[in-house]
Amino acid sequence: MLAVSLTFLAAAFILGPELLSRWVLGIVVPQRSLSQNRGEQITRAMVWATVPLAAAVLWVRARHIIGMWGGWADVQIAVSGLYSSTYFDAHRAEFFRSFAAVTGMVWSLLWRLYLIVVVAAIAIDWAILNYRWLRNALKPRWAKTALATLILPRVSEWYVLLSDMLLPTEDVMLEVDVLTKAGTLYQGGVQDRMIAPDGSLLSITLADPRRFLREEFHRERAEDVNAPADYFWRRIPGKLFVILGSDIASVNVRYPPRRPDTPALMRPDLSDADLTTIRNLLAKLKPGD
Amino acid sequence: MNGREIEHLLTVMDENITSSRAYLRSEILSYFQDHESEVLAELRSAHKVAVPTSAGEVSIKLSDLQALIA
Repeated sequence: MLAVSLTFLAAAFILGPELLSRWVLGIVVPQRSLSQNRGEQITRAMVWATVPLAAAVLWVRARHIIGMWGGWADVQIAVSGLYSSTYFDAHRAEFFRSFAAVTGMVWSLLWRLYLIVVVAAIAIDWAILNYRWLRNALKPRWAKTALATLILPRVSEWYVLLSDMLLPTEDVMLEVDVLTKAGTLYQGGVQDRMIAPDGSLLSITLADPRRFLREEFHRERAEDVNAPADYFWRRIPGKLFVILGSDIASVNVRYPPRRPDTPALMRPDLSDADLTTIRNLLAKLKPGD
Repeated sequence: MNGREIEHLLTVMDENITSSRAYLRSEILSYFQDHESEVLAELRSAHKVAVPTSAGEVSIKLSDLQALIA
């Protein structure tokens, strides 16, 4: 009976926080689950168990809550009763009184532990959803590294790469070049991605998809080495284009500017000499042009 | 890739974006200087100019240029 009780307590205090945190984190983003090795899983479970448990213990000690239920003597009586049936038969009334006190102590710790875990997991969810803003707001390099170390390993690598989490600035967007195993190259914005429970990529959905006419391009290049590649992209009818993850050979993630015409020439980036060049050019246009 | 490796990647990307923009800017301005008559003709006729760059063809509107020096 004692072994069963200890197993229950270990599950409630060590496995419970880890499972609860995974469930709350999984609401926001798919987690990388199977890509962790056993050591990483145990380390994470221990961290999720010990840090919130320490906070819960400090909480109940500061409020003197454990003492309201009972004391160390109650723990000894409850453990003795669970361990020895002889002791249980001889001290039945004491055992049940102490067992109720110990249950109260465990409950006091447990609900606080789970509350802390849920709050911490929601805080991490918020950090994941606002990762780009948070990273840009943090100036010291060590703070950015600490943020990445804390947040990114909890998220599927594909989600990290194919969402706006890593967009470096506001004025760029996420586009990908996808090379399939059949050798076809597609290009487009990332509209959606489906990620398996183990964190692997099931499919990627491209918005405004384009296909590269590879053979025509090579034919043209054979005749003219300066043939520009831009002319060999063809739009695919339809707005959304799904490529299965099993068909993908490689993915090139790009961050082109949202407005291709202006970011290259933005006022804060231009020197006086650059502005003079533009001013001289425009001065040669006829008035009214 | 762990968190620290991704953060390093992001730092490199930030640096690359800054240097890429500077390079693109210099390409556009060099084109303006080297192909002045063509640029002026395009700006007169279409109110925009297509500049070939290493990142592909960049279209620049006359109104954007005027806003830059306003």
